[in-house]
Amino acid sequence: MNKLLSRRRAIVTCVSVILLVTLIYSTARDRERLSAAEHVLREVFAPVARGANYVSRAVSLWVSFVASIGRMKRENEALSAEVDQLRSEVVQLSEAARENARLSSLLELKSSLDGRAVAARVVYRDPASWLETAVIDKGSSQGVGTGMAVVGPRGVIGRTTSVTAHTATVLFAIDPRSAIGGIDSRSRDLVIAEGIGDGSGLLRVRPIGADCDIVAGDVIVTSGMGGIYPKGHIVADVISVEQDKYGVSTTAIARPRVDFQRLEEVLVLIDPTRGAAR
Amino acid sequence: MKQARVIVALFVSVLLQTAVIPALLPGVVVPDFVFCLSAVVAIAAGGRPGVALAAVGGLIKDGLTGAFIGANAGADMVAAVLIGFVEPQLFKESLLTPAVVIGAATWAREAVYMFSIGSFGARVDMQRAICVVAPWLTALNICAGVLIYWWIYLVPRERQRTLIQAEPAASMELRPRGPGRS
Repeated sequence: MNKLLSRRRAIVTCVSVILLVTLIYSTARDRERLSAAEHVLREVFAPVARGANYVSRAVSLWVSFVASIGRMKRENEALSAEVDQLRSEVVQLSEAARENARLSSLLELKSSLDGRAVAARVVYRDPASWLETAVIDKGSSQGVGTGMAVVGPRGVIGRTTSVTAHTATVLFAIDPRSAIGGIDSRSRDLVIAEGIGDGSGLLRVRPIGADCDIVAGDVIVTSGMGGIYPKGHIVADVISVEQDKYGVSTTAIARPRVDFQRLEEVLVLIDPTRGAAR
Repeated sequence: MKQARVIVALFVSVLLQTAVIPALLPGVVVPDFVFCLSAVVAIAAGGRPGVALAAVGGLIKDGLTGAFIGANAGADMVAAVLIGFVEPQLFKESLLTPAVVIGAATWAREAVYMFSIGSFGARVDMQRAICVVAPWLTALNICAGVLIYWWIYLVPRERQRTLIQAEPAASMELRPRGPGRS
Protein backbone atom coordinates (compact mmCIF):
# COMPACT_ATOMS: atom_id res chain seq x y z
CA MET A 1 0.00 0.00 0.00
CA ASN A 2 2.81 2.38 0.98
CA LYS A 3 4.67 1.41 -2.16
CA LEU A 4 1.58 2.19 -4.23
CA LEU A 5 1.20 5.58 -2.56
CA SER A 6 4.82 6.55 -3.03
CA ARG A 7 4.64 5.42 -6.67
CA ARG A 8 1.52 7.54 -7.15
CA ARG A 9 3.24 10.48 -5.50
CA ALA A 10 6.25 10.09 -7.76
CA ILE A 11 4.02 9.96 -10.83
CA VAL A 12 2.12 13.10 -9.75
CA THR A 13 5.40 14.91 -9.06
CA CYS A 14 6.85 13.92 -12.42
CA VAL A 15 3.71 14.93 -14.29
CA SER A 16 3.63 18.26 -12.42
CA VAL A 17 7.25 19.00 -13.19
CA ILE A 18 6.81 18.10 -16.85
CA LEU A 19 3.68 20.22 -17.09
CA LEU A 20 5.30 23.22 -15.42
CA VAL A 21 8.46 23.00 -17.52
CA THR A 22 6.37 22.77 -20.67
CA LEU A 23 4.28 25.74 -19.57
CA ILE A 24 7.32 27.84 -18.71
CA TYR A 25 9.01 26.88 -21.96
CA SER A 26 5.98 27.68 -24.07
CA THR A 27 5.38 31.04 -22.38
CA ALA A 28 8.98 32.16 -22.00
CA ARG A 29 9.09 33.68 -25.48
CA ASP A 30 7.21 36.81 -26.46
CA ARG A 31 3.66 35.90 -27.29
CA GLU A 32 1.19 37.80 -29.37
CA ARG A 33 -1.83 35.97 -28.03
CA LEU A 34 -2.63 34.99 -24.50
CA SER A 35 -4.31 31.72 -23.66
CA ALA A 36 -8.04 31.58 -22.87
CA ALA A 37 -7.32 30.92 -19.21
CA GLU A 38 -5.07 33.99 -19.00
CA HIS A 39 -7.73 36.05 -20.77
CA VAL A 40 -10.38 35.01 -18.30
CA LEU A 41 -8.11 35.54 -15.32
CA ARG A 42 -7.14 39.03 -16.42
CA GLU A 43 -10.62 40.10 -17.44
CA VAL A 44 -12.05 38.90 -14.14
CA PHE A 45 -9.29 40.34 -12.05
CA ALA A 46 -8.85 43.67 -13.87
CA PRO A 47 -11.95 45.50 -12.52
CA VAL A 48 -11.29 44.31 -8.99
CA ALA A 49 -7.66 45.36 -9.20
CA ARG A 50 -8.66 48.70 -10.71
CA GLY A 51 -11.09 49.34 -7.86
CA ALA A 52 -8.55 48.33 -5.24
CA ASN A 53 -5.92 50.46 -6.94
CA TYR A 54 -8.26 53.46 -7.01
CA VAL A 55 -9.16 53.08 -3.34
CA SER A 56 -5.50 52.59 -2.41
CA ARG A 57 -4.45 55.71 -4.27
CA ALA A 58 -7.21 57.72 -2.64
CA VAL A 59 -6.17 56.43 0.78
CA SER A 60 -2.52 57.10 0.00
CA LEU A 61 -3.29 60.67 -1.08
CA TRP A 62 -5.40 61.28 1.99
CA VAL A 63 -2.75 59.83 4.31
CA SER A 64 0.01 61.88 2.70
CA PHE A 65 -2.19 64.98 2.94
CA VAL A 66 -2.86 64.37 6.63
CA ALA A 67 0.82 63.64 7.22
CA SER A 68 1.83 66.87 5.49
CA ILE A 69 -0.51 69.10 7.53
CA GLY A 70 2.00 69.56 10.34
CA ARG A 71 4.79 70.36 7.88
CA MET A 72 2.56 72.78 5.95
CA LYS A 73 1.58 74.49 9.20
CA ARG A 74 5.22 74.95 10.17
CA GLU A 75 6.05 76.20 6.67
CA ASN A 76 3.09 78.54 6.75
CA GLU A 77 4.16 79.99 10.09
CA ALA A 78 7.74 80.44 8.88
CA LEU A 79 6.56 82.07 5.64
CA SER A 80 4.17 84.36 7.52
CA ALA A 81 6.99 85.46 9.79
CA GLU A 82 9.19 86.05 6.74
CA VAL A 83 6.46 88.03 5.01
CA ASP A 84 5.97 90.19 8.12
CA GLN A 85 9.70 90.82 8.33
CA LEU A 86 9.94 91.67 4.63
CA ARG A 87 6.94 93.97 4.86
CA SER A 88 8.54 95.75 7.78
CA GLU A 89 11.78 96.07 5.81
CA VAL A 90 9.90 97.44 2.79
CA VAL A 91 8.19 100.03 4.97
CA GLN A 92 11.50 100.99 6.55
CA LEU A 93 13.23 101.24 3.18
CA SER A 94 10.49 103.28 1.56
CA GLU A 95 10.43 105.53 4.61
CA ALA A 96 14.19 105.93 4.32
CA ALA A 97 13.82 106.72 0.61
CA ARG A 98 11.20 109.37 1.32
CA GLU A 99 13.31 110.87 4.10
CA ASN A 100 16.29 110.87 1.79
CA ALA A 101 14.34 112.77 -0.86
CA ARG A 102 13.10 115.31 1.68
CA LEU A 103 16.54 115.85 3.17
CA SER A 104 18.08 116.15 -0.29
CA SER A 105 15.69 118.93 -1.24
CA LEU A 106 16.26 120.61 2.12
CA LEU A 107 20.00 120.39 1.60
CA GLU A 108 19.59 121.83 -1.86
CA LEU A 109 17.62 124.73 -0.39
CA LYS A 110 20.16 125.25 2.36
CA SER A 111 23.03 125.45 -0.10
CA SER A 112 21.07 127.93 -2.18
CA LEU A 113 20.72 130.32 0.76
CA ASP A 114 23.18 133.07 1.58
CA GLY A 115 22.87 133.18 5.34
CA ARG A 116 23.26 130.59 8.02
CA ALA A 117 20.46 128.07 8.35
CA VAL A 118 19.74 125.21 10.73
CA ALA A 119 17.92 122.06 9.63
CA ALA A 120 15.43 120.84 12.19
CA ARG A 121 12.99 117.99 12.58
CA VAL A 122 9.39 118.43 13.62
CA VAL A 123 9.09 116.56 16.92
CA TYR A 124 5.62 117.47 18.04
CA ARG A 125 2.39 118.77 16.60
CA ASP A 126 -0.95 119.40 18.12
CA PRO A 127 -2.69 116.06 17.50
CA ALA A 128 -6.08 117.70 16.96
CA SER A 129 -4.54 120.39 14.71
CA TRP A 130 -6.42 123.12 16.52
CA LEU A 131 -3.24 125.13 16.66
CA GLU A 132 -1.28 125.77 13.46
CA THR A 133 2.02 125.30 15.22
CA ALA A 134 4.72 122.66 15.54
CA VAL A 135 7.68 122.07 17.81
CA ILE A 136 11.08 121.48 16.22
CA ASP A 137 14.13 119.85 17.76
CA LYS A 138 16.47 122.83 17.50
CA GLY A 139 16.58 125.66 20.02
CA SER A 140 18.75 128.40 21.39
CA SER A 141 21.70 126.01 21.78
CA GLN A 142 21.81 125.74 18.01
CA GLY A 143 21.36 129.48 17.51
CA VAL A 144 17.61 129.47 17.00
CA GLY A 145 15.84 132.50 18.43
CA THR A 146 12.33 133.86 18.40
CA GLY A 147 10.99 135.51 15.27
CA MET A 148 13.17 133.59 12.86
CA ALA A 149 11.88 132.51 9.47
CA VAL A 150 11.24 128.83 8.93
CA VAL A 151 11.22 127.63 5.34
CA GLY A 152 11.13 124.40 3.41
CA PRO A 153 11.86 123.29 -0.16
CA ARG A 154 8.34 124.21 -1.21
CA GLY A 155 8.22 127.61 0.40
CA VAL A 156 7.62 129.56 3.61
CA ILE A 157 6.48 127.54 6.60
CA GLY A 158 6.25 130.16 9.29
CA ARG A 159 8.32 131.72 12.07
CA THR A 160 9.64 130.69 15.43
CA THR A 161 7.74 132.00 18.45
CA SER A 162 8.96 130.48 21.71
CA VAL A 163 12.38 128.92 22.06
CA THR A 164 13.98 126.64 24.65
CA ALA A 165 17.56 125.37 24.70
CA HIS A 166 16.80 122.46 22.38
CA THR A 167 13.34 123.15 20.96
CA ALA A 168 11.45 125.91 19.28
CA THR A 169 7.81 126.49 18.40
CA VAL A 170 7.02 127.32 14.80
CA LEU A 171 3.93 129.37 14.05
CA PHE A 172 2.72 128.34 10.63
CA ALA A 173 1.99 130.88 7.95
CA ILE A 174 -1.61 129.65 7.81
CA ASP A 175 -2.23 130.59 11.48
CA PRO A 176 -4.44 133.74 11.82
CA ARG A 177 -1.72 135.26 14.04
CA SER A 178 0.73 135.11 11.16
CA ALA A 179 1.22 137.90 8.61
CA ILE A 180 3.87 137.77 5.95
CA GLY A 181 5.00 140.70 3.84
CA GLY A 182 4.88 139.54 0.25
CA ILE A 183 5.04 140.64 -3.32
CA ASP A 184 3.13 139.53 -6.39
CA SER A 185 5.83 138.00 -8.54
CA ARG A 186 4.10 139.11 -11.75
CA SER A 187 2.81 142.64 -11.01
CA ARG A 188 5.35 143.40 -8.25
CA ASP A 189 2.56 144.75 -6.06
CA LEU A 190 3.17 144.54 -2.33
CA VAL A 191 0.76 142.42 -0.32
CA ILE A 192 0.26 140.98 3.13
CA ALA A 193 -0.48 137.24 3.40
CA GLU A 194 -2.39 136.33 6.55
CA GLY A 195 -3.61 132.95 7.79
CA ILE A 196 -7.37 132.51 7.56
CA GLY A 197 -7.42 130.03 10.45
CA ASP A 198 -10.61 128.21 9.47
CA GLY A 199 -8.87 124.88 8.98
CA SER A 200 -8.80 125.27 5.21
CA GLY A 201 -5.03 125.86 5.17
CA LEU A 202 -5.45 128.93 2.94
CA LEU A 203 -4.08 132.48 3.15
CA ARG A 204 -5.86 135.75 2.69
CA VAL A 205 -3.80 138.09 0.55
CA ARG A 206 -4.45 141.84 1.07
CA PRO A 207 -2.85 144.40 -1.21
CA ILE A 208 -1.11 147.29 0.48
CA GLY A 209 -1.76 149.84 -2.22
CA ALA A 210 -5.18 150.89 -3.51
CA ASP A 211 -4.47 150.06 -7.13
CA CYS A 212 -3.52 146.46 -7.16
CA ASP A 213 -3.11 144.06 -10.04
CA ILE A 214 -3.57 140.54 -8.73
CA VAL A 215 -5.16 137.64 -10.54
CA ALA A 216 -5.62 133.95 -9.92
CA GLY A 217 -2.50 132.01 -10.71
CA ASP A 218 -0.12 134.68 -9.47
CA VAL A 219 2.63 133.57 -7.13
CA ILE A 220 3.20 135.46 -3.91
CA VAL A 221 6.78 135.53 -2.67
CA THR A 222 8.31 137.13 0.40
CA SER A 223 9.20 140.78 -0.05
CA GLY A 224 12.03 140.81 2.51
CA MET A 225 10.71 144.00 4.02
CA GLY A 226 9.21 142.72 7.26
CA GLY A 227 12.52 141.93 8.85
CA ILE A 228 11.67 138.27 9.43
CA TYR A 229 11.43 136.61 6.06
CA PRO A 230 14.22 137.08 3.58
CA LYS A 231 13.27 138.05 0.05
CA GLY A 232 12.25 135.59 -2.64
CA HIS A 233 10.75 132.64 -0.78
CA ILE A 234 7.45 131.33 -2.19
CA VAL A 235 4.52 131.98 0.11
CA ALA A 236 1.47 130.78 -1.86
CA ASP A 237 -0.32 130.61 -5.20
CA VAL A 238 -3.33 132.85 -5.70
CA ILE A 239 -6.39 130.76 -6.41
CA SER A 240 -9.15 133.39 -6.39
CA VAL A 241 -9.63 137.15 -6.24
CA GLU A 242 -12.56 138.93 -4.60
CA GLN A 243 -13.67 142.56 -4.87
CA ASP A 244 -15.55 144.21 -2.01
CA LYS A 245 -19.13 145.25 -2.70
CA TYR A 246 -18.10 148.85 -3.46
CA GLY A 247 -15.29 147.80 -5.75
CA VAL A 248 -12.74 149.73 -3.69
CA SER A 249 -10.52 147.01 -2.37
CA THR A 250 -9.43 143.59 -3.60
CA THR A 251 -8.73 140.51 -1.53
CA ALA A 252 -7.24 137.28 -2.84
CA ILE A 253 -7.21 133.76 -1.50
CA ALA A 254 -3.96 131.86 -1.89
CA ARG A 255 -2.94 128.28 -1.29
CA PRO A 256 0.53 127.63 0.18
CA ARG A 257 2.60 125.02 -1.61
CA VAL A 258 3.77 123.60 1.71
CA ASP A 259 1.79 120.61 2.99
CA PHE A 260 1.48 121.63 6.64
CA GLN A 261 -0.16 118.32 7.56
CA ARG A 262 2.87 116.33 6.49
CA LEU A 263 5.69 118.49 7.64
CA GLU A 264 8.75 116.63 8.92
CA GLU A 265 11.92 118.59 8.26
CA VAL A 266 12.33 122.38 8.14
CA LEU A 267 15.05 124.93 7.78
CA VAL A 268 15.37 127.77 10.31
CA LEU A 269 17.01 130.87 8.85
CA ILE A 270 19.29 132.14 11.58
CA ASP A 271 20.33 135.26 9.72
CA PRO A 272 17.17 136.69 8.14
CA THR A 273 18.84 139.54 6.36
CA ARG A 274 21.15 137.16 4.48
CA GLY A 275 18.75 134.29 3.98
CA ALA A 276 17.31 135.42 0.72
CA ALA A 277 16.66 132.74 -1.83
CA ARG A 278 19.06 132.96 -4.76
CA MET B 1 -8.37 25.58 9.50
CA LYS B 2 -11.40 26.70 7.54
CA GLN B 3 -11.29 26.55 3.74
CA ALA B 4 -13.35 29.73 3.42
CA ARG B 5 -10.79 31.62 5.45
CA VAL B 6 -8.05 30.36 3.12
CA ILE B 7 -9.96 31.33 -0.03
CA VAL B 8 -10.65 34.83 1.33
CA ALA B 9 -7.01 35.09 2.32
CA LEU B 10 -5.91 34.05 -1.19
CA PHE B 11 -8.14 36.64 -2.83
CA VAL B 12 -6.99 39.38 -0.43
CA SER B 13 -3.36 38.35 -0.90
CA VAL B 14 -3.56 38.61 -4.67
CA LEU B 15 -5.24 42.02 -4.38
CA LEU B 16 -2.73 43.31 -1.85
CA GLN B 17 0.23 42.06 -3.83
CA THR B 18 -0.81 43.24 -7.27
CA ALA B 19 -2.97 46.34 -6.71
CA VAL B 20 -3.03 47.76 -3.21
CA ILE B 21 0.57 47.85 -2.01
CA PRO B 22 2.10 48.95 -5.36
CA ALA B 23 -0.40 51.85 -5.29
CA LEU B 24 0.28 52.75 -1.67
CA LEU B 25 4.05 52.36 -1.78
CA PRO B 26 5.16 52.64 -5.39
CA GLY B 27 8.63 51.37 -6.24
CA VAL B 28 9.20 49.27 -3.14
CA VAL B 29 9.65 45.51 -2.80
CA VAL B 30 6.24 44.00 -2.12
CA PRO B 31 5.88 40.96 0.17
CA ASP B 32 4.79 37.78 -1.64
CA PHE B 33 1.50 37.32 0.20
CA VAL B 34 0.38 34.42 -2.01
CA PHE B 35 3.56 32.51 -1.31
CA CYS B 36 3.27 33.33 2.41
CA LEU B 37 -0.26 31.97 2.42
CA SER B 38 0.72 28.69 0.79
CA ALA B 39 3.68 28.38 3.18
CA VAL B 40 1.42 29.02 6.16
CA VAL B 41 -1.05 26.38 4.93
CA ALA B 42 1.83 23.94 4.47
CA ILE B 43 3.02 24.60 8.04
CA ALA B 44 -0.45 24.34 9.53
CA ALA B 45 -2.06 21.58 7.49
CA GLY B 46 0.78 19.73 5.84
CA GLY B 47 2.52 19.61 2.51
CA ARG B 48 -0.33 18.44 0.30
CA PRO B 49 -2.80 21.32 0.82
CA GLY B 50 0.16 23.67 0.84
CA VAL B 51 1.31 22.43 -2.55
CA ALA B 52 -2.22 22.61 -3.96
CA LEU B 53 -2.62 26.18 -2.80
CA ALA B 54 0.87 27.06 -4.06
CA ALA B 55 -0.09 25.71 -7.48
CA VAL B 56 -3.31 27.74 -7.62
CA GLY B 57 -1.81 30.92 -6.17
CA GLY B 58 1.35 30.63 -8.26
CA LEU B 59 -0.62 30.16 -11.46
CA ILE B 60 -2.74 33.22 -10.65
CA LYS B 61 0.44 35.28 -10.18
CA ASP B 62 1.85 33.85 -13.40
CA GLY B 63 -1.36 34.49 -15.28
CA LEU B 64 -1.37 38.12 -14.17
CA THR B 65 2.26 38.70 -15.13
CA GLY B 66 1.82 36.93 -18.47
CA ALA B 67 5.30 35.47 -18.89
CA PHE B 68 7.06 32.31 -17.71
CA ILE B 69 3.74 30.84 -16.70
CA GLY B 70 4.41 28.11 -14.16
CA ALA B 71 7.62 29.59 -12.81
CA ASN B 72 5.95 31.15 -9.78
CA ALA B 73 3.72 28.13 -9.33
CA GLY B 74 6.67 25.74 -9.54
CA ALA B 75 8.78 27.76 -7.12
CA ASP B 76 5.94 28.08 -4.61
CA MET B 77 5.18 24.38 -4.91
CA VAL B 78 8.79 23.38 -4.31
CA ALA B 79 8.83 25.58 -1.19
CA ALA B 80 5.57 24.02 0.00
CA VAL B 81 6.93 20.52 -0.60
CA LEU B 82 10.05 21.36 1.44
CA ILE B 83 7.90 22.73 4.26
CA GLY B 84 5.76 19.59 4.02
CA PHE B 85 8.86 17.48 4.70
CA VAL B 86 9.61 19.23 8.00
CA GLU B 87 5.98 19.95 8.99
CA PRO B 88 5.50 16.92 11.31
CA GLN B 89 8.47 18.03 13.42
CA LEU B 90 7.36 21.66 13.81
CA PHE B 91 6.11 23.24 17.04
CA LYS B 92 3.09 25.06 15.72
CA GLU B 93 1.96 27.06 18.73
CA SER B 94 4.69 29.67 18.48
CA LEU B 95 4.90 32.56 16.03
CA LEU B 96 8.64 31.95 15.82
CA THR B 97 8.03 28.76 13.81
CA PRO B 98 6.39 30.42 10.76
CA ALA B 99 8.96 33.22 10.95
CA VAL B 100 11.90 30.82 10.65
CA VAL B 101 10.24 28.46 8.16
CA ILE B 102 8.97 31.24 5.86
CA GLY B 103 12.36 32.99 6.00
CA ALA B 104 14.16 29.83 4.87
CA ALA B 105 11.45 28.93 2.36
CA THR B 106 11.67 32.37 0.76
CA TRP B 107 15.32 31.81 -0.12
CA ALA B 108 14.50 28.34 -1.51
CA ARG B 109 11.59 29.73 -3.50
CA GLU B 110 13.61 32.59 -4.93
CA ALA B 111 16.43 30.23 -5.90
CA VAL B 112 14.02 27.94 -7.76
CA TYR B 113 12.22 30.85 -9.41
CA MET B 114 15.40 32.52 -10.61
CA PHE B 115 16.76 29.19 -11.82
CA SER B 116 13.53 28.54 -13.73
CA ILE B 117 13.30 31.85 -15.50
CA GLY B 118 17.09 32.05 -15.95
CA SER B 119 17.05 28.65 -17.63
CA PHE B 120 14.47 29.83 -20.12
CA GLY B 121 16.26 32.97 -21.21
CA ALA B 122 15.44 35.68 -18.66
CA ARG B 123 18.35 37.87 -17.58
CA VAL B 124 18.76 37.64 -13.81
CA ASP B 125 21.01 40.09 -11.96
CA MET B 126 22.31 37.67 -9.36
CA GLN B 127 24.13 40.29 -7.29
CA ARG B 128 21.03 42.44 -6.95
CA ALA B 129 18.86 39.39 -6.35
CA ILE B 130 21.06 38.06 -3.54
CA CYS B 131 22.12 41.34 -1.93
CA VAL B 132 18.97 43.45 -2.28
CA VAL B 133 15.80 41.66 -3.35
CA ALA B 134 16.05 38.40 -1.43
CA PRO B 135 16.96 39.91 1.99
CA TRP B 136 14.22 42.52 1.73
CA LEU B 137 11.73 39.98 0.48
CA THR B 138 12.66 37.60 3.28
CA ALA B 139 12.09 40.24 5.94
CA LEU B 140 8.78 41.32 4.41
CA ASN B 141 7.61 37.74 3.88
CA ILE B 142 8.41 36.88 7.50
CA CYS B 143 6.30 39.81 8.72
CA ALA B 144 3.43 39.03 6.37
CA GLY B 145 3.66 35.27 6.98
CA VAL B 146 3.55 35.64 10.74
CA LEU B 147 0.41 37.78 10.47
CA ILE B 148 -1.26 35.35 8.09
CA TYR B 149 -0.31 32.39 10.32
CA TRP B 150 -1.77 34.14 13.34
CA TRP B 151 -5.02 34.87 11.52
CA ILE B 152 -5.35 31.54 9.65
CA TYR B 153 -4.13 29.13 12.32
CA LEU B 154 -3.64 30.59 15.80
CA VAL B 155 -6.84 32.62 16.12
CA PRO B 156 -9.20 29.72 15.20
CA ARG B 157 -7.17 27.38 17.45
CA GLU B 158 -7.48 29.74 20.38
CA ARG B 159 -11.23 30.08 19.79
CA GLN B 160 -11.61 26.31 19.58
CA ARG B 161 -9.64 25.86 22.80
CA THR B 162 -11.84 28.38 24.61
CA LEU B 163 -14.96 26.56 23.43
CA ILE B 164 -13.63 23.18 24.59
CA GLN B 165 -12.80 24.60 28.01
CA ALA B 166 -16.23 26.23 28.32
CA GLU B 167 -18.16 23.06 27.38
CA PRO B 168 -17.46 20.88 30.51
CA ALA B 169 -18.26 23.76 32.81
CA ALA B 170 -21.62 24.24 31.10
CA SER B 171 -22.45 20.52 31.26
CA MET B 172 -21.53 20.49 34.97
CA GLU B 173 -24.06 23.24 35.65
CA LEU B 174 -26.87 21.46 33.80
CA ARG B 175 -26.33 18.11 35.59
CA PRO B 176 -29.32 17.28 37.97
CA ARG B 177 -28.67 17.05 41.70
CA GLY B 178 -28.39 13.53 43.11
CA PRO B 179 -30.77 12.11 45.80
CA GLY B 180 -29.94 12.69 49.47
CA ARG B 181 -27.96 15.86 48.76
CA SER B 182 -29.19 19.06 50.28
